[in-house]
Amino acid sequence: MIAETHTQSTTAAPAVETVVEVRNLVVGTATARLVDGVSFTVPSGRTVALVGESGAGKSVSARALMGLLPAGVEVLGGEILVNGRDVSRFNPRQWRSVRGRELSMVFQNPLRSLNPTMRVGAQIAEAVRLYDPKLGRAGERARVLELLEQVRIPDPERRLFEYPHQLSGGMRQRVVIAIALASNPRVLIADEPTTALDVTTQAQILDLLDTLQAENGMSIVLVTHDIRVAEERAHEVIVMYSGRIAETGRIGDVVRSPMMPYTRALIAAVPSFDVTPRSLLPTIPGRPPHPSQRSAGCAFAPRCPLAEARCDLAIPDVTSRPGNNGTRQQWRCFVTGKTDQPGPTGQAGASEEGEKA
Amino acid sequence: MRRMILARLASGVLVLFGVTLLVYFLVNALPGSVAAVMLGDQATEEAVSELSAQLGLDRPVIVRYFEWMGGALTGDLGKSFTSGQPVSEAILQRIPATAQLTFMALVVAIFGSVLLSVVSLSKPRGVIDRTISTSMFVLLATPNFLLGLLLVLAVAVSWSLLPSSGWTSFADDPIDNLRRAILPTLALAAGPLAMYTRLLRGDMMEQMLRSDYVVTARAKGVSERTIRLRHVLRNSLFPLLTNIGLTVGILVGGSVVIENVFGIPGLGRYLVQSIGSRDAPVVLGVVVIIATTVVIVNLLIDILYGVLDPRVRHERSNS
Repeated sequence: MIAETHTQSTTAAPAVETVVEVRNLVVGTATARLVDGVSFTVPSGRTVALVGESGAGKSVSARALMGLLPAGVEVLGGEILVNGRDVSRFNPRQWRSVRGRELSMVFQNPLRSLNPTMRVGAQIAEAVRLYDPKLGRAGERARVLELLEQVRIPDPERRLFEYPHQLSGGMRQRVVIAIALASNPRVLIADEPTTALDVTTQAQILDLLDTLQAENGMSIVLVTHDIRVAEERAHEVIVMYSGRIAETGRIGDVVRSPMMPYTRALIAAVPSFDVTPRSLLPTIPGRPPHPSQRSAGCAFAPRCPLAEARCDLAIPDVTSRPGNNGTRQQWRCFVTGKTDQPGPTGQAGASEEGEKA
Repeated sequence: MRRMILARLASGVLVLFGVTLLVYFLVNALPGSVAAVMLGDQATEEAVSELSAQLGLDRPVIVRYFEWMGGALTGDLGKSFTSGQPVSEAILQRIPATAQLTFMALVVAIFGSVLLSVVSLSKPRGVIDRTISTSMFVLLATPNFLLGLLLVLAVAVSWSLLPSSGWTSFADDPIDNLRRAILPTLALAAGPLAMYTRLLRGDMMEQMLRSDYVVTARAKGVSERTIRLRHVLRNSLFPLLTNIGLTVGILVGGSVVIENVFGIPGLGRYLVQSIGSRDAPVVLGVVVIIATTVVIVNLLIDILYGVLDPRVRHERSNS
């Protein structure tokens, strides 16, 4: 786990290098915008969580970063800068120079994301060979074993010759992570990496990702529907709603004082141990609008307890206030958004213990 | 694995029993009798019934069936009514031509379908893909005897490239044998080729679009071509294998027609001749051979599944 060692005493922002920058990204089909004008950055060595309910566009955004959009879904506008290069209009050949090199991806269902009829060792070796074709058989094998050890798979020599169905869910996900690590990527995109696993295994896999980040300093984009996972694991959070960004900021700031009503509802819906027994858990009534049927205004307005007439007419501008460690908390809301908002702790850029420690 | 093989063999015996019983009654239900066919249309009724009695045909069908079955179980398939030749000997003479044709057709259909599917999917829904798809549909809808006749007309008659009919055994003259085998092989392979290509292309396309492991391979940076050949084709061969087992019967059935179109002295032509002359022992003998082949091929495919598919292999070794 990473403890944030730098304690700022001044208001100066820490000079964190940006690895990925998404600018005004629009992704969609012929009839609907699944991702509608999304912008965010992934700083080097940090974990950024993309949070939202199903259909919020978080997975589509993550896949767009890899150029792995499903058939019929395309990037319609905006830019995706990976180390300064705009990859959003790349052709398949150009994409192969990015995938598995600068960016790697881990998927939701570890059984389905491995080829059922190929030995685990061969599937990792394939990635190793693509990254370093001159390695030779012995070198490849050594590198595969090294990767299996890196993801803490016991008895790696034996696992080499096993098939995915012979491994447990957690082991399979470790193998998928080993494949993703084969190229020493700068960014690892983890799309709901623990949703298909049981709770204890979930924690182990997330711990593993943290450890790997501490070891080789890669950035992680963690896609999750669970804001608690984001709170435990991420440095920064991007809350998405109906294809748009609802709120972004340092995870501690957003969780402690959410500004956008959707974020507030999302945090209020997290069950806690001090609810009255037999009482109903808090929920957000209604469902998000279908991407092809969004109104001209704020997409959350129909479900929002604070909504006013103007909310249906136009999308609110970004409101921003300083957060901790020189970050900024940003959201879009007419009602809660006013200029010159004070920071969550009252003072801009105040230092604080890392939430993620 | 051994238990599976034994169970399949037992069910195979039941299949053979059922098939022979059915065919025996069908042959006997045909109008006319072998005696009438042998003696010609000038024969008196007395002569016909005398010959029938000589051949033992005056006794009940069920008695004769079990007599035949008793012989068959000891390896004696009886003698042809019309020629007096032992049935097993007559069949052995005719197996090579049929076996060669069906085997060559199967090889053409399998390799052809793999090639066509891979080429099709190099650009899904492109011109080549659509052309291949349409051609396969046309082939699937064309009866194989019609295709055979068209091939004869075009290649043998108009261009005189290959002989139109007749047969030379491979042992006598391999080159002439192959020249004569080309057209019937193509006519026989067309149907299965179309079926396998549609199946294989469809299954590969489905995997390319929906399988998560394909996305993983893309995320590694594997090229589309390598994904098609190394990941997708390999996994799609399993449904193809099942389909081959199911279509072996169709292939053998097709050879019955094709051998008659091309005048090839194989089992199929022999079967048609014997049905015409109501020669029950021969009909039954050929049916037993064909049914046994289908049962054994399907058993072999099941065993092959266990050898090739790691999922089945481990499930079986664990149970």
